[in-house]
Amino acid sequence: MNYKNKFLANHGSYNNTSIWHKYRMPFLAITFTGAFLILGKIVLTPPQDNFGNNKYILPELVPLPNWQFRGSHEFIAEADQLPGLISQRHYKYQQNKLILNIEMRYLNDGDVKQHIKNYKDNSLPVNIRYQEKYGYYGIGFNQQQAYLSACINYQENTTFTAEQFHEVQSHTNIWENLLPWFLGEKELVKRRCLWAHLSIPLSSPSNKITETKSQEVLEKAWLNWSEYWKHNFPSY
Amino acid sequence: MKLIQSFSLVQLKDQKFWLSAIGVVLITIHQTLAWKSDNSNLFAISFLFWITISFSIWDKRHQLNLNSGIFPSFFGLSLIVLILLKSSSMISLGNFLYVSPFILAFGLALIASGFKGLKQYRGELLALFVLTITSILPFGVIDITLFTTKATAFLLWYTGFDVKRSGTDILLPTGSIEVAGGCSGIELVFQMLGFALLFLLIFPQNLRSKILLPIFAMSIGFVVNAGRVAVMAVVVAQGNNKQIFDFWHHGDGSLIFSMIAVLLFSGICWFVINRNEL
Repeated sequence: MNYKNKFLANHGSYNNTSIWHKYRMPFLAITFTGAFLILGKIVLTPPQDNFGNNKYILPELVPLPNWQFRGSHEFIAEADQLPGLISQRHYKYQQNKLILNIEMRYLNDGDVKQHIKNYKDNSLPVNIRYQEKYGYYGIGFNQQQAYLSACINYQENTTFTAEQFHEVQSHTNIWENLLPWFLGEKELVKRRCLWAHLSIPLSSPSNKITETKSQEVLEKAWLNWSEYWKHNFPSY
Repeated sequence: MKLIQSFSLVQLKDQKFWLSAIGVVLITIHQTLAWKSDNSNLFAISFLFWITISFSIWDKRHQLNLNSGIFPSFFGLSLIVLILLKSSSMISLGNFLYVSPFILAFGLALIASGFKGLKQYRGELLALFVLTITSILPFGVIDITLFTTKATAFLLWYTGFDVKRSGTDILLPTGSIEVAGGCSGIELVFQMLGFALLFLLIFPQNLRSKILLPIFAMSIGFVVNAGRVAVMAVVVAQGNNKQIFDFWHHGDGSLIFSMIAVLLFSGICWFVINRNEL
């Protein structure tokens, strides 16, 4: 009964929009055909690298002013277990007798402070510093090494803690990115972090360097290093 | 007159055929993309959502008012076209695949029944909207980290650990953890809410159960996640074994806890169905 009433009601209102009623079937048929063609395209297209989880490989050679490049290699460390790791590479530089190690990791996550605790050395002391126009970084030393660590962000200042990272992420203007994202030129929100971990060994007998001096050296190298990556940030 | 009526009936049947055919194609597009993006979690969850929603619509197919005007039809079509164009580019889809089911379903509902007919699909649309929320929820909009930390500390205290809490840090005598935003369990809470809504679609309940079941589901998600964090705190306190920690943090161990949550909620659902049958 109910069904019949509804049918009659439908039937009645069809009369009001009879022209549209005439075109409704072709409209549905065309919609179906279009969707079906797109399905065919999607089924036949093999997935691309930047489809869902992105693949990016860090470059082999990165210039660093005042330092001599001594090689680089992809490393497989326990940081393999790092959540959201996309790519990692170890760079080595030399300045006179001083060796500078830079571990680069491209990640989906920017909690560098926590990563150092979990994947580096739990006992490493940390001082968080801030430099105008560059951003936050963590710096510290123990008996073996002095280090500087931070997350290089896309078009933003560097960060060290999860809060700073999320703060930077929140600057993204989603509406502005909507059209480029739709055209496949850009990501809507780039939740990516290039974690740079710079370290200088202190214990080797060949170079005698004080802790304070080593931190100055690290900070200088850091400014050049982060500047380079800001202009060469992975596009995916 | 009779002739005209039967003619319209055949057309109505045709309309249903085309609408369901479009629905099937849209679902297949989404599932194919989820499969190709290597996101097994998304694939499984959206499969469950699509199956349940299709069943729910199929169940009431005779009661549906399928009458839409020119404007809602073209508006719905343009929503679908936008989503399909982006889908077919197959570039940096990421969280988009969590959002697209809701917009596709919304567009198709508009084509099928217009703005006035949307209320026929409110349960289905609401469920898909919850699926969307889980992924677009940025950190910090709803931050329940502090509550999670408190619940974890309570669980540990209740099971006899000497536990202290300061902010989002959990301190045990031999080690401590900081509960990060990603561990707050908000995803699990919303995932459970989604499951509750799906259950209500298939097994309609009275108003009291309609309100209580989602609340139960969300509470289960919250408490089970607090249990997971408690296990991790104990693992850390017992000597910093990274492998075990990673297993519970984002390895298979974390999936075990989602399973526990789903099983607990299934228990409640089973109880509710049995009670109704008595």
